[in-house]
Amino acid sequence: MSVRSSSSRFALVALRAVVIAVGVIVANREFRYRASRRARSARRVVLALGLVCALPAAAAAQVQWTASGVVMVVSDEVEFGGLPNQRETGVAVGAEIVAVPLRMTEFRAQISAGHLNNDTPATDSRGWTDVQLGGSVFATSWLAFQLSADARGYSTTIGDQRWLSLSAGAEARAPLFDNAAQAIFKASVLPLVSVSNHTNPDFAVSAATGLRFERKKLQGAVLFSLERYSFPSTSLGAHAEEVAILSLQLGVRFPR
Amino acid sequence: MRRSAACAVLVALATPALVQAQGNTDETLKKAVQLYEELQVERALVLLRQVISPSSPFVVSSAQRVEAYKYLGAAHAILGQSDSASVYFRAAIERDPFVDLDAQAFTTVERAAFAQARQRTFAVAVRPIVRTRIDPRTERMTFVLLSTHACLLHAELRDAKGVVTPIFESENEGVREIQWDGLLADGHVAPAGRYELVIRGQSHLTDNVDSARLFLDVALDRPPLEDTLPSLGAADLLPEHYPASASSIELAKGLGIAVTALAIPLAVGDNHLGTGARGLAGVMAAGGIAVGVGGFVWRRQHNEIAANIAENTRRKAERDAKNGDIERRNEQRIAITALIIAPAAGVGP
Repeated sequence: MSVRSSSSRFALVALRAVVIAVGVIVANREFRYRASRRARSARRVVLALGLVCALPAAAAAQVQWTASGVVMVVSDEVEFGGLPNQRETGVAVGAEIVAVPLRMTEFRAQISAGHLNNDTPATDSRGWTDVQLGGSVFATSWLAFQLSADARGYSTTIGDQRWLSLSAGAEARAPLFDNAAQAIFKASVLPLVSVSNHTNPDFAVSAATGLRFERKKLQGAVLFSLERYSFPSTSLGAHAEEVAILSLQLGVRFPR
Repeated sequence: MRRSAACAVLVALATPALVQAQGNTDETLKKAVQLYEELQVERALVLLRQVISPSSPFVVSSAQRVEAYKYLGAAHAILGQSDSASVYFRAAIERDPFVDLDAQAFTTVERAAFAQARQRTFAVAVRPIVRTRIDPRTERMTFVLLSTHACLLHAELRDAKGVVTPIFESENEGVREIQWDGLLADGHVAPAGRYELVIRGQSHLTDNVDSARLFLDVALDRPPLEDTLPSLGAADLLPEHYPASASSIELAKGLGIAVTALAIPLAVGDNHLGTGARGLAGVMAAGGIAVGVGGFVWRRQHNEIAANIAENTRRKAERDAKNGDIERRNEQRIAITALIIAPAAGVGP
């Protein structure tokens, strides 16, 4: 029995419980006025439980999910105040969940963590954590518009720094191998970027390209992305930061 | 205008004269027969000779001439002039092999002379047909043939293409009815068209050969047949193979990944940064090139458009099924086909 059919059955049972509960409430309207406060509370609990169980189950029955593991090579480079450029490179691992509730929409959540080692002198190694939430709407079969939010943390011996950003962009997909794979081209602007304990960048963009492939239930991707953050110049000089990521994803799609 | 008027006047003048001429021959012939029956044979001979005389001013039809020869032969037989009787009987038989002497109207001597003339004259004939409708499953078309004396008689039908269907071959003497079931030699119902019934006979007595022919039109009486669907042309089918450029497009997509990966650090990145990004972009570019080359090779080896092939197969199967239904309905209509056989003018098929 497939996951979809079992989810549908659970959703039906839950919905039936809701209907029964509502029916009881309506049929006993007169009695309700006479009932004790305790009984009323009990019915409300039943109704609430039914809704809590039924709505996500009904929604989940229609959704196609993809769960992937992610391995990323991250290169973070900083130009600051006329000092020599600082670069850290490391590997992060994480997971990604993609939900497709409707044919033309897609929601994505990704979490990753790792450690970046210093490649240049006088640079501290940093811990890396990143959480992304995003959604896509497909205008055509090959073009999607995306909105996403990103929370990133860098941890060093002297303290932590949090980056929060919102991005808006577009993604184009070109089929390869009779649609068994797709070439990905993506570009975004990051109009809102907040850096803790630091001036916010006045210009931020990102671009990515890569390859996504599917074979039966397996789905994978190899993506290269680059984020550029330009900060307002200070008396010390220009400040810019780039994060380049080469990620490898491999996951399973379900229920089909 | 003047010429048309003259023609109309001539026709108006000639038509009554022609009718009167035939009428006179008919009256003469009737009078001769009456005299013959009243045993005034000599007077009958005079009138009969007038009828067959080349100098007769009246129009004499073929049937009237045969009738005159028949009574001339009978009259000479009564007079004991057997040779003359035979000459006239043979003249009658040659013109109409179906001519015969009624046993109640003619004497034994006359009929004996006629029979002798028949033995000495060889002719075959087929009686004209009337319009007839037959169901080949249950009914037959009857042709009436005749040979004046014993012979090997052969009858066959020829269609416009010259295809011959034998329908009779046997010994025969006198009148014979043969039947045709409406089928040709290949076993199929005769298609509509003009046919020629040819009969040939070879006398056993004189070794002479004679033939006769009858033209007939065959029409099919059945519901009209449906046309089958034409073969699917190029416009009706989807392309089953990618164009030659498809493999180049696959290569271009892979190279597009590579070029984009290399371009991103240059176009998006900061001029003073990008050392690490360029390294990662190089890895991605290598992957893109590999994918492009792989796609190029793969497309050349997998040039078929599976979805289009399946759709074309479905369309062909649908057409075949429809044609099968049409053919079945047509076979049912052919099975109930009736033939309408009618006499035709005397021209070949």
